[in-house]
Parts: sequence; structure tokens; C-alpha cells
Amino acid sequence: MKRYRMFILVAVVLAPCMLRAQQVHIDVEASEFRKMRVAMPAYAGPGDLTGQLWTVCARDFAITGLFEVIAPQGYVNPGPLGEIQPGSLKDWTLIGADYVVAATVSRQGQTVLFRVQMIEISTGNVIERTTYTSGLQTMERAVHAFMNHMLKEKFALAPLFSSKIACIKKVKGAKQLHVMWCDGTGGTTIKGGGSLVLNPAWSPDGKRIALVTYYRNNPDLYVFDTVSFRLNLLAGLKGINITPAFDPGGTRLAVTQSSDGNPEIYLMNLDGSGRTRLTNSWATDTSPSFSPDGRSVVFCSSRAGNPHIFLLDLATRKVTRLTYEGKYNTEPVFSPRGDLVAFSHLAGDGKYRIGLVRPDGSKFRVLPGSGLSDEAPAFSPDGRLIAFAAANGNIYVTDLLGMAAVPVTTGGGFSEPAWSPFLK
Amino acid sequence: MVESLWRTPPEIEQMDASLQTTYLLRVGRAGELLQKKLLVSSGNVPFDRSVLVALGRIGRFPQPPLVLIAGEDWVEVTMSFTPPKGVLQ
Repeated sequence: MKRYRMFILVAVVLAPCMLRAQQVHIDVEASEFRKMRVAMPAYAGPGDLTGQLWTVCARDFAITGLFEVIAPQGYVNPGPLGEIQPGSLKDWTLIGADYVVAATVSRQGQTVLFRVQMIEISTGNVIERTTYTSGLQTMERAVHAFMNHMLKEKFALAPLFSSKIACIKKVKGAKQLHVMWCDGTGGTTIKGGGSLVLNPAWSPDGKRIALVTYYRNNPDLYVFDTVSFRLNLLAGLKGINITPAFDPGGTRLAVTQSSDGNPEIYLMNLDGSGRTRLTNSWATDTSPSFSPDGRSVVFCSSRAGNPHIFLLDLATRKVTRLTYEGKYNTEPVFSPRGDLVAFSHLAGDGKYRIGLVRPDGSKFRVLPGSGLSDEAPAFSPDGRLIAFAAANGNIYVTDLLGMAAVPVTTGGGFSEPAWSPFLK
Repeated sequence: MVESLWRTPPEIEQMDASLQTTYLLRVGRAGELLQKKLLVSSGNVPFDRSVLVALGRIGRFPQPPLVLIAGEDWVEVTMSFTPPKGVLQ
């Protein structure tokens, strides 16, 4: 109706000078963000493989932040469908789908073949028709390859599903390092490092994870090599050696230590040399995170009375307070894009939420998250998404508007996610 | 009509409310979409793609007033799409 009125308005104004068809201009502003809708009928193939791959694929679509999967209960043809026939597109238009994905799964020995077809319904274009292969034990990798290819070719986005999340997993009373793909598949719990491991932080090349263990009955800082699986002590000063963060070059670490009295933030080389004190306050300063250009560090400090987020300019040592909302803001992390800082924010209802603020302290907002109590945010390597730990002990992934928080673990016991760079 | 069919994903690559995608459309006498051409990209591929998908979902536009057609069989419409302002600003 709005459009129709626009036509008439332009017509009245321009009619006197019209000799031929006129050009009309219309501005369309979206009233809200809405995800694109994907229909996923059941896959064709042996049931022990298809159900598992369908579940991974549906979760991966949701994790991207671009799509929502339409519940299969409403499908005209719920499948199994190995391929969509061009004449059946109306079945998917009827349920409001923007895309439909069909696949055939088969097995040859220890190899899984995932033949997937994705159609853009509005144009009728087949935007993906490819067979991906993977080992039987790692068949989620075939879905990851499809998702990465689709994101790159059709949306010019980075290969999200070549990144991992390291976190802490509680196993029989012990807290240990757990590493999984960013959708929760392919998880491995790494034993060693004692019964209490904390604060994982990836190196920029994805080959090392700095972490804290109580292996020597003190919170000491170690670096875990993900290739050799070796764990090397980096800092074991008296007091705490916690919350490590690599600098963007991967040559130095910022860490919280209390050997000089109260907790302060220090910078050191990866062999422990060149130790420099970055903060100097009567209060507790902790949880450093570098800006992507390496010029500044956000951290948490109680220098204003309650824990809040501050930004330290490394060249001038000037400290700027970023948060004033609420009484408890902790665990800040800089976005890899440099445009946001995420942190754990104690909301008015007594629950934690993931807070966001720009590095100049403006645009504070809070993500709805899981609806539980959410802490410990970690940005995806492209800065489009945030992983966090919810009060039910599971890791979730959300887009930056918080339109959907997708659990990537089940069963609980998970905390402190750290998102890797894109891995090769 | 387009707005109701447009699913703008929360893909805020630049966290930038100034994203704008402009299409040139040729709409026939009965409101049918005859041609569409991307005039100006927003530079954000997911955003541009969401506009393309929305245009593809339109069965038919309102019939353009005859005075706009002025003897031709179509009218040209440039349409600029921008994301919701409230969230990003």
C-alpha cells in the first residue's frame, strides 16, 4: 500500500512533463532483522549415517547466524530426498523457505560420501551440488566442507567450520582442557595438566593454547602445543599467574600476576623473558585481551569500586573506562574486527548476560543469550559470532544481535570457551 | 510488500547502518517484474543476497498507474534497501 501511494505521489508531481515511461525511486528500510529460512528434508541413505549428518548440518546452518532451519513437521514432503526436482519448488515456497537442501549419504568402506544439493528458491538456482567425502569416524568434516564452501562462494564469508573452540570440561570432578570443532563435533578432552585447568587462550597461529593449571598446586601459566601435545611451564611466580592472552603477533602474552602484591597485568615473551608491568593500581586488574592492531588492551579492574571494563593504550599507558552500566562487568574480549568488546555483565535480574560495548565506551547493549545465565564470551575469528558458557554447563554460539543462541554441547560440564583462529 | 518478504539476516559485517543496496527494476503493466539489475552493491555480500532473494519472492507488484507508464509497457523503479536502523545506531 505504501508503495502504491508512492507511485501516485510521483505520478502527480511528474505527470505534466511526462512524454515516456518515468523512473520511480523507492527506499525500503527493513523493520527488523530476519534470518533466511532453510528447509532440510531428511537425507537419503542408510539411517545410521543420515540422521547424524542431518543433525550436524541443521546445527551448522543455525550457527552461521544467517539461517534458521524450518521445522520438518510442516514440510509438504519431509523426505527422505536425495535431490530436489525443479517442479517441486512450490512445495518449499509454500512453507516460506528461501533455500532447500537435500542430500544423499552413502558409504564406501571407511569413507562417507555426502552428495548435497542446495537450491535458492526465489531464483531457482542450484547454488551447490557437490559430493564431499570424509572418514567414517570424522564424517562431520564432510558437512563442514559443504558449509565452508557455501559460505565462501555465496556469501563471501570466511570458513567458519575450520575453526575450533577450546574450553574447560568437568570430568569426574576434574577440570580439563577440551577441544572441539566450533559446532561441538569432534571433541577431545586432553588429559594431563593436573586436575584443575583454567583460562584457555589460543595463539594467533592456532598451534598453541596458553592455559592455567594447578599442576604444582599454584595457578601457573603453561603453553600447550596442539601439535606435539607438550605442555611447557611459562610463568610460575608466587601468587597467581592467570588469564593469559596472546598478542596479535603471537610473540608475547599478557597475563595477570600477583607476585608484586595485588593482581596486575604484565606482558612477557613466550619464553618468560622481557616481563613488563602494564597496570599499576591499588585494585585488582585482570583478564587482558588485545585489540587486533596490538595497540591497546582491554581488561577488568575494580579500581572504580566494582569490577568494570577498561582500555589501556599501550603507547601512552592512558587508561579509559568503557563500562558504567551495572555493578559487575568482567572477562572482556576484543573482537577480531576491533569494533566491539564483549564481556560478562551482571544484569538487574541477578543473571549474567553477554554485554557489548564499542572500544570508545559507546553503544552498550546486552545479548539475550540462552535465557539462563551467560558468561565468558569468545569471538569467532571473523568477529561475526560469540561463543559463551551458560549456567546449564553448555557452550552456546550466538550472532551479534542475539537472535538465536545455539547450544553446541550437551550434557553440561563445559565452561570458558576460547575460539581458535581459522585452522588450515 | 517487499519489506514483508525481505529477510535481512543479522549479518552486520561492518556493524554499519549505512549499508545500502540499490536495484533497478522494470515492472510491467500488470505489476509483473520483467527485469532486475543490481545498480549499487552495499559491499556486504550476505546483505545484497538477502535483497536478491526478497525480490525473487515477489510474485507481482501493485499495478503501476498508467500515467507512469506513459505509452510504454513498463515502468522503471530504482529501489534502495537499508537495514533496520534501531539496532545498529
